[in-house]
Amino acid sequence: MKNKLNAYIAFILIMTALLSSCDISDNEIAPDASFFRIYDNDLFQASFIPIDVKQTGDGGYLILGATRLDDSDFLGVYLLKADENGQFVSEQNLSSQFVHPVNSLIEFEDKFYFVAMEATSLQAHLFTLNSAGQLTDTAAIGGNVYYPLYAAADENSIILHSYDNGDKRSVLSLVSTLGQVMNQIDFSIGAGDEVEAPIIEHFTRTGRQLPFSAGKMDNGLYFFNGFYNYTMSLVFTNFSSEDPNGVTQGQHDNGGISAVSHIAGNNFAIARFNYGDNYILPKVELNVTGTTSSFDLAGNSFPELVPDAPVVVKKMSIDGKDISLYGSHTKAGKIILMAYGASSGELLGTKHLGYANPFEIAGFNATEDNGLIVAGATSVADRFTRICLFKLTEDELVELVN
Amino acid sequence: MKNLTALILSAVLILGYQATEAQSKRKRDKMYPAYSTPKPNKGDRFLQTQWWLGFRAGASLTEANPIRRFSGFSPINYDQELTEKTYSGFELPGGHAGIEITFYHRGFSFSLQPNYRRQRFSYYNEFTWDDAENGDNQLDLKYDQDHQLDYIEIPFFVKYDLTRGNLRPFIQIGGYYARLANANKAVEITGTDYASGDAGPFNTENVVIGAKDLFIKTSVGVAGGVGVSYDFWNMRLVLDATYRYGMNNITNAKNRYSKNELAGIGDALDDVEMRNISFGLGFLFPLRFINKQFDAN
Repeated sequence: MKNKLNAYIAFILIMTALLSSCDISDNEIAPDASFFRIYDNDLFQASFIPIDVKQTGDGGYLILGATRLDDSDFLGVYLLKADENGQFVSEQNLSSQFVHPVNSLIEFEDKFYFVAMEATSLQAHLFTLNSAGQLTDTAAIGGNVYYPLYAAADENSIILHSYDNGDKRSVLSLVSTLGQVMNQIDFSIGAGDEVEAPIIEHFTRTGRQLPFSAGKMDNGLYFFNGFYNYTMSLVFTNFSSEDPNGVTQGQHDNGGISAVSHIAGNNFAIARFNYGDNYILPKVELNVTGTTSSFDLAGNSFPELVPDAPVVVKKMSIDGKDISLYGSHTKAGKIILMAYGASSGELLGTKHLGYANPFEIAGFNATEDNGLIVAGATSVADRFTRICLFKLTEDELVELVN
Repeated sequence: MKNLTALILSAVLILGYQATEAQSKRKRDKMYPAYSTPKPNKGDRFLQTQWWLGFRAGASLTEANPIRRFSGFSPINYDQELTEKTYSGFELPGGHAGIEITFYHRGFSFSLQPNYRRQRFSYYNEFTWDDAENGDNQLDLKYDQDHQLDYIEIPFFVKYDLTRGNLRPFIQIGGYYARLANANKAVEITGTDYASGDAGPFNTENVVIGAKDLFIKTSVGVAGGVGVSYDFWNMRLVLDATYRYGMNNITNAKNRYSKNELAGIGDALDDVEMRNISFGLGFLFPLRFINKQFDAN
């Protein structure tokens, strides 16, 4: 009898050990660490296009987006605020006076900025939001900046790529946070309406969305990805010469650079497109003082991406490593993240986001907890275009790069 | 459903009690010497202590009890509560099969019943998109999601026999520890698309996905029930009904969004605890005092 009692005591001890070592106690995660949200509107005709997302000072998220307008050929400006758990807080449809918000929310200190266009004058305007994502100021950008195409941060100013349809020139401007143009240069896109057509279709969304971009190298040279000399080209300039310092030419609007991120020196992480095909070049040295062709850059083919795929590439630090993180979407309707070593150009990992409905990428940014917030669009019930957010944890990113 | 359960449990108890009363009034066929007298001999070793080994199987009904709600949808212009799931209750049948090892001593039994158990629960969400200006622009969708979880369970019960005859009603309490062996999730989408020009309902094919990553490995809880055992020939037939009360959230919180292949339709598992009603039938054999003729002596 005593032996049996001992056996039962042993059994209970084993059970206790099993319980204490099991996954129950570990089954917790902060609600703001990982989430997925679809911002649904139950109106049949509602449609939302995400553009970019940034984390705000209160831990929440600010999404810049666009909506269709009944009284304009352009898209209206849409802002959505979510809390730290990704739950919807508020939305704001700007007056149809302002249209065509351009890619990227820009953050300086505790303020956010984005650029849109005045609907009738077509002049670019700079919008300022406070740390909570509330709109506080709107300023017309001086210096005859029309048709804004892309805005990027440059220390305490904004690099703005725009189009002058009067003289058919691609324009690059340095704009202060008050909307003043501090430096500007422009280059001819070439003569004839045919060259201009893809740009106008980009604005009205009646054609393909072109991968306009802009940025600055560590040697002080600026670049923009836009039309130059009849082709979609990556143009390098120091703002002092009427001619570009260097050009990586595409093939009209059928080939060129689809995403660019400066690594160091003349090295870039880029993606390129060519008649529908997509190529990733995680580390490529570009000739920034001469004329070359993007077609000659070759690269890793990614046939799983949609034709002429929109690609976002950003330099990030993950798990102590310098990473070029690419984002795009696949023919299967999933968002794909691809992490490459910035210095090695080696593919470290890929991650797919989104199931069931088709998903398209808009933008991504790092979060305060070393995670990643990814904004995208999804088609709820295969028909209603809605904005969605994926919040990835630091652990998921570490897993991605290891 | 709860009333039905109470009714079944009451019926088992009453039947067991009446049968035992009837036995005490008539002389029975003798199976074990220990059972051959209305008043057992207290010194009978067989009666006082016995090991039983056998197999058991049965059916079960499961309910998922949400303790914290989640959704992939964050509504802009309608109430968040409209995204909440409606659970099925004790409706979908499951099953279990395994062995039972029981040590009996002076009316008390200590029973280990390892088994392979299938538990099912379901829920649905309903959504509508419409247009105030055009009544034809309306889509109603219903997402039915069925979950099938397979566990290897090790329950442990302490039973007490209410009587000492061949027919013995008993009560039992205990707990269980279970490890997830497999999990699947199936979704069926039905609805009405008024905008298509045909207001007839439609439904899609069932999509079945592996869902093992959506649940943690461990499930624990307490259990209690009633039953009756009947000794005949050289074996014991056991019928019981047991209510299991899960004490932990079985949803994998870390994988709620990242590993859910149905996240795209707004699905995110709630934190849920399991409630389960099992009906079991067991055949047990005594391990002590059996001679070559399989007669207990």
